[in-house]
Amino acid sequence: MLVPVVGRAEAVKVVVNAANPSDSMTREKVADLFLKKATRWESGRVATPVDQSDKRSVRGEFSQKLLVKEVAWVKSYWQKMIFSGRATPPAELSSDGEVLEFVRANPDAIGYVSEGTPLTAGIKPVAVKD
Amino acid sequence: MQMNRNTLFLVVLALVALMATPSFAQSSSVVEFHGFGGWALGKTDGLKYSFGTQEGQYDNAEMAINASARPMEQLSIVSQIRFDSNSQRGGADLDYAFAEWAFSDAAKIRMGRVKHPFGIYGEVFDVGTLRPFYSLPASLYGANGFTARAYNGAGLTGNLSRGRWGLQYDLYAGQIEGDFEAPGLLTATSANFAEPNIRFSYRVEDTVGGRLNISTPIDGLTVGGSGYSGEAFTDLDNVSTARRDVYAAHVEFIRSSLTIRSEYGHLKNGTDFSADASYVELSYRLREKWQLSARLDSQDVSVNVNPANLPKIFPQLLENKEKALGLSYWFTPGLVVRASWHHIDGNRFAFPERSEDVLRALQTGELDRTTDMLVVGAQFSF
Repeated sequence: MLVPVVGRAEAVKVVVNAANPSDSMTREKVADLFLKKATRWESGRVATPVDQSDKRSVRGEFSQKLLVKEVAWVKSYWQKMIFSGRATPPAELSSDGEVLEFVRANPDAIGYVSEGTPLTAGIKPVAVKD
Repeated sequence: MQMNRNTLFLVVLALVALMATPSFAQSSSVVEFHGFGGWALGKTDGLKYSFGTQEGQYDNAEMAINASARPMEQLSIVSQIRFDSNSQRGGADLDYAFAEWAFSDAAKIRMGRVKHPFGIYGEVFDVGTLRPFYSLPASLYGANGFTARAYNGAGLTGNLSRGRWGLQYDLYAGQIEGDFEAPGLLTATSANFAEPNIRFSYRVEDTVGGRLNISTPIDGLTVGGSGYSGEAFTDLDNVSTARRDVYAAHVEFIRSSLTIRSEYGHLKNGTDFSADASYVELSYRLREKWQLSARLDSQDVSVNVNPANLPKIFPQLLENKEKALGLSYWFTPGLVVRASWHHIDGNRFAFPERSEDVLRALQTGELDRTTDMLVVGAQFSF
């Protein structure tokens, strides 16, 4: 069953570049991309997740609803990945507008914005399957 | 060796910087720098234990710098150098430096000096902001032959996931390096008999090893196992080469404010000695910033020697039982101040600081079995 995250979480909208063929994804796949447990799209291209600053409430909403983890857990996870030499965290941007601009400019990007954020040209939402 | 490692780190840094220039910029051309460190005071009621002494040891400070780059889509280069005020190697050491080529998420090869994938903490050995106490459990992560600093060689690693199951594996071959420390009293019949403790580097060559981590559908529950086998060498004249086999199992449960970790390990070093080690560590966050922690830690060593030739105090030199309670205050996930109390029974890691006290213990056959230690410190990462 397809459940748009915007409908379920009432606060977060997952977005990709309009050229991305994906219209829907499982929650696990979204989490794996943002935690870099999976790094590629089905097409084989390397995904570029982009995060938001931990000062923004949408970051907490995203962590709770999509990653099913507290932001503090995610911070610890990235410390472990960095210092074991396994991966570095996605870039953190400081506003929904910056995320939209980044996703519009990067065909392989995936990001998230607050539910009420109007999407600009070149961006599309992704429905997240529970 | 230290100079060689520092030089190697600089070379790796230079390579990372060069490869991250725009001409290589297929994906991320950014060189990322991170780091961690800490300082602690350790004070005991008598014997020396870990970094604590009776007078109070203040110069326990460490710092590490990590540099990484991804000059090509499939290529990552990572290096880390660590400075330790108590290092036997004179201050700075190359923690690791390796290149990783990703065929896919499920198959990545690594070559170079790679952090030892062993147990829960093996790869993040010194990162204080990833644990509830200033120091790791001595039984598995002390200088005792279980966990090495790194492997020098080649490895295969990857992630697989199916639904809510996840699997991360590591396989490696090469040489591993580590430090070993024992009470000087253990070598009472050798020329080192008056030394408070003996500490030396070891290497295990022709090593084959691996680790498996399985994240289960139970939210926060991870289980796994690690092991390796190879020929162990030391620089000591009186310690012979032996086959070393090590295996361990671990379980970790992290949900909301509660974290529980436990590990068991067994080490067999030829017919010379074997050791069993285990710990349980529990921590709970209060109001996000405060954390209460408790730990039980144990190690028992069996040595293949003639008991008739041994000093009376020998059995207690082969045991370590530690109970610890801790309190931490987290300013952020990257900065914590903490205090802990440790009660140690046994002298595997607790021994007199001065040679004359070692001799007295040897002559009288008496050595305090218990040690209490207070640790106060701060740890950070960025």
